[in-house]
Amino acid sequence: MLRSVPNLSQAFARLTLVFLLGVFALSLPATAQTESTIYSFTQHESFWPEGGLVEDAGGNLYGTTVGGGTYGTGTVYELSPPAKGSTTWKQTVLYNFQPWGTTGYTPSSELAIDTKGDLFGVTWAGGDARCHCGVLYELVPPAKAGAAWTHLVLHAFTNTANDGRLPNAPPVLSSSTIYGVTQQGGQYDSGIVYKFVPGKSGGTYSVLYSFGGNGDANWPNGPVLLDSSGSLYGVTSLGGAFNSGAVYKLSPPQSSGPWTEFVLFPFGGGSQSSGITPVGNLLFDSLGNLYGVAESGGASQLGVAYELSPTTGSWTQYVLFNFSKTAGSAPLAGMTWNPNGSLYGTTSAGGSHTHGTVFQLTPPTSGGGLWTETLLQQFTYANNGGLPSARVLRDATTGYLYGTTYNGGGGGCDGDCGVDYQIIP
Amino acid sequence: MGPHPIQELSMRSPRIPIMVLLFLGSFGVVSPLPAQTPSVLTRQNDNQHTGQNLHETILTPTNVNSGSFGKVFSYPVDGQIWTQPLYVPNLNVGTKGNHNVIYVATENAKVYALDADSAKKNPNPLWFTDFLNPPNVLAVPCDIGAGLCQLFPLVGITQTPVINLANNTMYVVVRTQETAGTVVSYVERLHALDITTGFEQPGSPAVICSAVDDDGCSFGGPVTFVPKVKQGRPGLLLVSEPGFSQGVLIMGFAGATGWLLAYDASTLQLVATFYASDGITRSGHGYGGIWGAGGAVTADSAGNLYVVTGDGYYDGVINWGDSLIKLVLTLNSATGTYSLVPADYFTPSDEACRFTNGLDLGSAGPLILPAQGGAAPDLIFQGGKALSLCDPTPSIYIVNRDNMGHVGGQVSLSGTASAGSESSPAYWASATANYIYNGADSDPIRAYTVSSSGVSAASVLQTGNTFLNGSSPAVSANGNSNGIVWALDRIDNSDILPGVQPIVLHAYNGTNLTELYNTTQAASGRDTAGPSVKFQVPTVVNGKVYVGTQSELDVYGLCPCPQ
Repeated sequence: MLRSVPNLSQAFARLTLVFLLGVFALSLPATAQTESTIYSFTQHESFWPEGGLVEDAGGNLYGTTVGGGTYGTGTVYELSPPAKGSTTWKQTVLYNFQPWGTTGYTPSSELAIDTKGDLFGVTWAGGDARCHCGVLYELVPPAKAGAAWTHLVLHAFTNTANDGRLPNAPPVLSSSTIYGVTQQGGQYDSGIVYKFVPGKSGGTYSVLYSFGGNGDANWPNGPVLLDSSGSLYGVTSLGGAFNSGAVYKLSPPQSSGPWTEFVLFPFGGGSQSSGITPVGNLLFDSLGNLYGVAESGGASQLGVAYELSPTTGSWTQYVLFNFSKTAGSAPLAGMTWNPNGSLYGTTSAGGSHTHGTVFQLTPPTSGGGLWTETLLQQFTYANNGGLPSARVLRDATTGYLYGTTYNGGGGGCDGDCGVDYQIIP
Repeated sequence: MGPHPIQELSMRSPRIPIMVLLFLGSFGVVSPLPAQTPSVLTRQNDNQHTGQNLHETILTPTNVNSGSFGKVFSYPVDGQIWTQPLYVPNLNVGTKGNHNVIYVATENAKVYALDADSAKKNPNPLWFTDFLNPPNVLAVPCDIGAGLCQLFPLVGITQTPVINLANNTMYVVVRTQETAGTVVSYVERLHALDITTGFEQPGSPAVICSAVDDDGCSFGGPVTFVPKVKQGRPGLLLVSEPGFSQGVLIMGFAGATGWLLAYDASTLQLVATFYASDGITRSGHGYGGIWGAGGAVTADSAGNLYVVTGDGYYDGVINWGDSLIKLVLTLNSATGTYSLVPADYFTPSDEACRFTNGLDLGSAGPLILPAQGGAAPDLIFQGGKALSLCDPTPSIYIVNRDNMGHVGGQVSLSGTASAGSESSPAYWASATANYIYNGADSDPIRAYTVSSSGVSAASVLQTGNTFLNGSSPAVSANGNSNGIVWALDRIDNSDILPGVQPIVLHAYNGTNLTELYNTTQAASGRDTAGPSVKFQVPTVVNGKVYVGTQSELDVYGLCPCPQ
């Protein structure tokens, strides 16, 4: 979905400002906003929410935990808003993953949700009896409220015949098609992009592209992003010219034949000032520029937020913000648009308590250059979580932000069990 | 020092020396196999945990580079591989003929026997044993018990098994959660598998302990072994003992009180026990858990056990937190029963601070060094966690195993990284110097020298890169030449479990620690391994390097290396 537009100035001016400003990105203290923990996970129920949250039309949130549940190998859960007169969100485990059979276990990403309320996700383990390398699954809500959800395996990854293995990013729904990536497997064991078209007889699965040929990007990391022409965009955490990750574009064939991959930008050149190890999702603005984050590199070697702008025949990368110990460091997930043109995101570490942040990046009021960061939340670990590893969800109606932290918050787990949080900006 | 008050049955009991089984040793030990066909039958190659294979004639510092060496194949497995792969050459596997066999045990409670040379010719396991029967018999979810998910998400087989070629048997400890109706039990079993078929040997398995929920087994003493929380961590040790035709199995456990159990490898009967804590809760951390990054239990070639414990209360009588203990299996001739008797020990002088701050000495496995001559020829190299609050100069302890010195009685100290180590070192005697290779947290692999003068106070060599979570290296060499140090790097944030980044295999020239190769060098991710676990040790044998990961066994060797 195309979003509103941050200002776009001439590339030269932007480059000059980036150069001049160097590491002196602005990082502002938090303004008045309210953060609250809406659910604290516990060891004996479910714990370690690695992915972020998705939302249905009723404001219910859905997520996954990699640990806990009946069999200790993860859950899908629902978090319902407080009932009238209450301030307590209600958590319900919808599905417990089983570490046997072929249904998959250890959910490895956040979910996708369709208009019917069906949930889609992937697991890191289980599935095919020989490969045990993960599944793409669907959870169908019950016809009658309170009954069990139905778990369907749409595809068990096999790592044979160029199939992938170890899916690590949420599937993306586009009309009647599901797109996704696996971290490894495929022709070069460096990951694939796949497509699944649900059908009455189970659907049709196909591999669109195998990463890892000579000099190619490899190890796709985040979900794909579709443009209006049907091309897919994403990042890989390895590969590219400097083996430090890349942004890729995958274009469908004109009529028949293979999809075509283009490396739009390889990370890691020069002093790594452009960042290395890109992770998470990409975003478009209305002009077709791409936005994302890299876990490392940049002025402080602690990650960057970046923009890629299409120019004739190539793409140009601009660092929007250099993360640091105080500004938050090591983002592990991508960002989320605020309709006003700013970006929300998380860092897994750094901030005043060293346990991660939720940040907002605001573009310069005119011209190019570095964006200004406002820290919306600096996690304390013990009280309100730590190690946020997923992107934030912005509720379109209220503008509230929702997310997860992988650790912190108590609950008895090793490293604590994690929380779900709400921020009212 | 007084006897252990519980396990000691008689002060008059004669000490029966434990002889390290000949086929498991390396120095001073004769291998029954020709030098050209070495085997790897126990964690870190021998009971001293030197981590060295001195019969490697294929891999050399000349041919280990990304141009001629890389990933040659891999096998998918159904669970994480925390155990070290074991190797038996030229084994008759029944109707499947003779194979070099690599054995892998997983946290989802499976053991695989795989062809060690080609997944293309032999894509399926030679045999495969599954100890589960879902949904009633499962590997134990890590969240059973407090704070145990450092292994995640399932805990089935963590201790590296041990193989006895004399009776073609692999010994493996399996941990399960078993449900019957509404009753949930937790069970530790010792299995003896025929290495040619995977079938249980007669009398196998033996139940170590089966208990409902939080119940446990006392083994005749006041401290309870609770399988719900008891994690076997160190590799199994097989030592020879007069009167035990197939030797004695030694197994260590963490998860609250540290336990050591000794089993007759022939009958699978319990022989003796030792526990490192009285289990009483005090102000501090831990109960002397026995783990040592998988390498806490060792034996010298004279037959003594050396076991290191994690943080816990220490009193030198019954509580042995943060101590390196020499244990002797002792026969009470009057009763005919055995006990594991502490014969000597070393405890750091900062033990109280370690207990207060949760600073395990036993986060690192001991290395029993070959005799070096000099005034104290028989030394142990013992790392562990470090913290400036307890010790302004983070140190490795060099202990004389002939006189361990008790509290603060180390022979010398060697400097280490600020956080210390959660790993096990390796040893190699080159033509010019004897090296100890140690991989501390967030530090390079460092080489210390050892001679009749002792261990160098500081490292003399170091790698150019650091290892975020430390590393337990292995050494391949042809005697004192062509030494290569192999080390695995887990690059995931240690708080992210199970972790998603590939484990990185590095190879260094053993004489100078310059890097020869790593798995990120080849173009297009050719050599990328599977996602990492913690505390893995590579197995290097017969021209190949075997690396266990979360989802597969990766095999490296001389190319051709398929893209």
